[in-house]
Amino acid sequence: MAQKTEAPKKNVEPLKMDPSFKYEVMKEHDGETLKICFQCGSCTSSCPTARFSDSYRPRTILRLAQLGIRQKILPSPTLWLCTACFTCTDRCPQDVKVASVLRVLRNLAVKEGQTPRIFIELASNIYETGYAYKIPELRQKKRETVGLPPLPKASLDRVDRLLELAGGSKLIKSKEAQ
Amino acid sequence: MDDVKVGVFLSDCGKQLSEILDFNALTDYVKSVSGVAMIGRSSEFWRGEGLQFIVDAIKGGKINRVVVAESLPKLSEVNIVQAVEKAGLNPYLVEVIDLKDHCAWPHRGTPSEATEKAKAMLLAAIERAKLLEPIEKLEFPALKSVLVIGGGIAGMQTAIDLADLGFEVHLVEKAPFLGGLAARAGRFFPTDDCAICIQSPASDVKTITHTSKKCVYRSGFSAIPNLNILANSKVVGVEGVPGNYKVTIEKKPRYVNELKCVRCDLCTTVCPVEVPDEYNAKLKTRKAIYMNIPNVHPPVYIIDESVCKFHDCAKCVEVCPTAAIELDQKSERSTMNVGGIIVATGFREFDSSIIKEYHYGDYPDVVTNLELARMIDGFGPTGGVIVRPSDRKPAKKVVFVQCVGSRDRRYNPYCSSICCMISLKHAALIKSAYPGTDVTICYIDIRTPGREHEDYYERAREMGIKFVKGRPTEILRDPETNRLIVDVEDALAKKFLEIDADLVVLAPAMVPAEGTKELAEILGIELDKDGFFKEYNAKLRPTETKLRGIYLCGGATFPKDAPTASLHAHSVAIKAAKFLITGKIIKDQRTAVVHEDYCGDCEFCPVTCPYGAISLEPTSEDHLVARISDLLCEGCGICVGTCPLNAIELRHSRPNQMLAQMKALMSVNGTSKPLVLVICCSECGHTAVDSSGMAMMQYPANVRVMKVPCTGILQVHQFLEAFKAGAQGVMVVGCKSDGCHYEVGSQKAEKKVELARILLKEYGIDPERLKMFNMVFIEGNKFAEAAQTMTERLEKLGSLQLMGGS
Repeated sequence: MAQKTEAPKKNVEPLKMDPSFKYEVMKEHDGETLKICFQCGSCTSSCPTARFSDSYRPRTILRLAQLGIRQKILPSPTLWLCTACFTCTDRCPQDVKVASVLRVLRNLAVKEGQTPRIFIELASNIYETGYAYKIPELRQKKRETVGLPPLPKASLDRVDRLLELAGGSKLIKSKEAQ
Repeated sequence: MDDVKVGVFLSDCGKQLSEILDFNALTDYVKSVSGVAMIGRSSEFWRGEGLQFIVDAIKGGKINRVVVAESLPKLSEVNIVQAVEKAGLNPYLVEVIDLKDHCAWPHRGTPSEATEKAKAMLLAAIERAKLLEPIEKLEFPALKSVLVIGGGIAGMQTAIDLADLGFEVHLVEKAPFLGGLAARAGRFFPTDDCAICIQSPASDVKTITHTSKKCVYRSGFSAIPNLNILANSKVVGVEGVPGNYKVTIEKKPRYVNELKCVRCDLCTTVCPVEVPDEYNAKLKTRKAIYMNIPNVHPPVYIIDESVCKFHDCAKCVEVCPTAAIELDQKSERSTMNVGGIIVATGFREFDSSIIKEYHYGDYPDVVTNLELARMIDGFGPTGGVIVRPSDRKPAKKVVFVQCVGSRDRRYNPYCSSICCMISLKHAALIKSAYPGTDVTICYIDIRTPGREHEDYYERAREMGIKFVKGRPTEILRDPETNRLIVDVEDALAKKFLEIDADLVVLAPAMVPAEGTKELAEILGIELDKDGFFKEYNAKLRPTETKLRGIYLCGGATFPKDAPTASLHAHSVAIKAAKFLITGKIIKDQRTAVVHEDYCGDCEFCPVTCPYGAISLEPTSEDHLVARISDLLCEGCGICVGTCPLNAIELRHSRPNQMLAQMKALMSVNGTSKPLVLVICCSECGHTAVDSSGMAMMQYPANVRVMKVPCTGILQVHQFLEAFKAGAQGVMVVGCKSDGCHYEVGSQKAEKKVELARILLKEYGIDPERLKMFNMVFIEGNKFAEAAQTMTERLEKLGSLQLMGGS
């Protein structure tokens, strides 16, 4: 009788927890409220974005942050879906500044170079033109033909300085490196 | 006064101590101290032959002051003091010190230094003993009558207990009928029987048997002759002292004579005014003259004065067969004298309409647990049917929302502790009466500690009740169908749910009863941060307040289920009875005393006294002086520490006694190390020193300990005196600032130390030489460490030079 041989089962790797991650978040303004969250889910059920996404769950992101599973948060594009409406913050019964904690997490993602391309694109547009979107030459001409004044030119010096202060230049440089 | 003759008795604890301390040197030293008439040495002095030796010496007239060096004085002192008193000497002429835990054991590495410290300790005890004065026992009258405020399940039970013990009891209830929140709840967990059950009194009422419980209306408790029930009344004023309070009660008009009404119901039939019945969740109407439910107590109608047309109508007056209706009744004030007061005012539901997104008060089909309880109650407005209030149709889908306004930092941060059980009870009652009902409970955490409580959770799951882990963000209403939708994320499935509901039941936080704050002000007691009455000590004295004679029970201290409220109620009855049962309060005069000639008009001490024991009274010379009530004074000395003119002293801790002790402790050094004076409070501070000794933790022998009743007694100049007496450093050790046995003493001491440190700096003395510590008994290691650190710091700072001082 032929013996059936089963393929050896592959174990699921348990997630690595970084106990210091939570403290990294808590160092930033309003990030300290992360620790109080008791996972009631008021944030998620009040979130307008989560309603249209299968993956974006503010409560889950906060949970992962509390546990220090950074590899599941920082590279994830869902982190960037927050529309900053602050309903979650308003409705949280524990005064967790949910929207602000998410902002802190996005900043940490940026520091680690985990920024979605589109945001780098936007930032470099600002860096180069002062506008989030590049205005095509064609449109400038069209304005002229219909008698609209030209769009004001941004003071690139100041934009440059602001970006430098806010750490945005680094972000753009990381793009250039790519 | 006779010449002072001090007897000094040294216990060597069965040679344990004589191996470290040189007892011969100690006896020689003590002999040389003036005033010492006798020296004894034995292995123990707190019982047996040793104690008899002291007694004989007192009886023989050889000594009139006693100093005993004994281990564990906190335990042995009681025995010694009692024996001394029996022998005919005032018990406050005894000073007990601990040569083991305060000297031999912590300094066992340096026996000769320890012996020198022991000399200083003995000298300090002798010098203090010489200055001690007899303290008398005072007797105050105590009335054997009690006022119970609140006629809910707790108040009623404690009232019955005390009445059965023979006290005259006045039970005051604000509402027109007794029963409180409990009576509205319909059924109780964990017994699942009616809510209006109370323990039946063991009185002589013929119809009452000794079975376990009876409902309010069958119990016959209203027939107990020494129980005076005052419904529709409230306390408006309290004066007086423990044992004899004068209480003013305002009885609101009922407009129906309690003695004449025969409950014939004719009045409600003719009454033309119909209003929504608040008691029954507005699910039915009632007349202007009404009773909540048929089996209430007192069994008398009441007229709702906010809606009755009185003489413009008077139909009820015409029809009443016994002329019981008296439309011209007025509020009546009466006063009564009681020995003690028990607060049993309970709690109420949080007003859920504050949380806008739940639309309570806006959508009629959103109700609270208490309103649902009225529907479940067979006596209730729907006769037990669960309906949608908007159209009275049976509710087929019911959703519970937990933690409404509780565990919420915006409203009430605490867990109300009983709401999970209430919802589980209600869910199960609905499901068992109407198995076709779809019941869902939205929760953050389900909390069911307590006997048989988890059974409810288990049974609910067995019955098919659904549990959704998530706090709903909003309750929406479909404008066309009027059906409700509960918006929630189930955290376990990570899915959004829009739960369809006919009826949404909120489980609101339980908050302090209305009028709690006003009552606290009338009684002069404190509230906790959540607004509930604050007990004296949550761990050991859960029914007492900081004021003797005023007690708490039931939900007035925190939301409680019925079993816990009963426990509390029976427990408080014993406390109050213990205080009043002998008809007198015996209290020794370890109290503050005012030098009226230099007390001058300021109002500092009455404000700082945590017990309200000080009043300002005009003297003949037309100025005010402080008067201390020996009954209210607890002898902490916070007033002493406050008085800017040194016009107050404690009889058992006079400034000259403290100074003599301080000087004596600093008089013998015997070490090369800088002397440190530790001033401990007699509560946590001193026991922390004890425990470091008991555990044989080592610290140097230059550290000397002096005990005061509470660190709140200390004045700034005393720290300077300590330095002048030879201390190189001073440590003040008090209780934790929120755990001071005299409420605010250690906080006051902290301020004094801060002030003194500023002064020291002015005088060119390093302020680090003076430090405040807060410790509890189990922190002996902290004390030993602090003593060591202080010594090292002082060694670094070098010796302190004062003009004219050491």
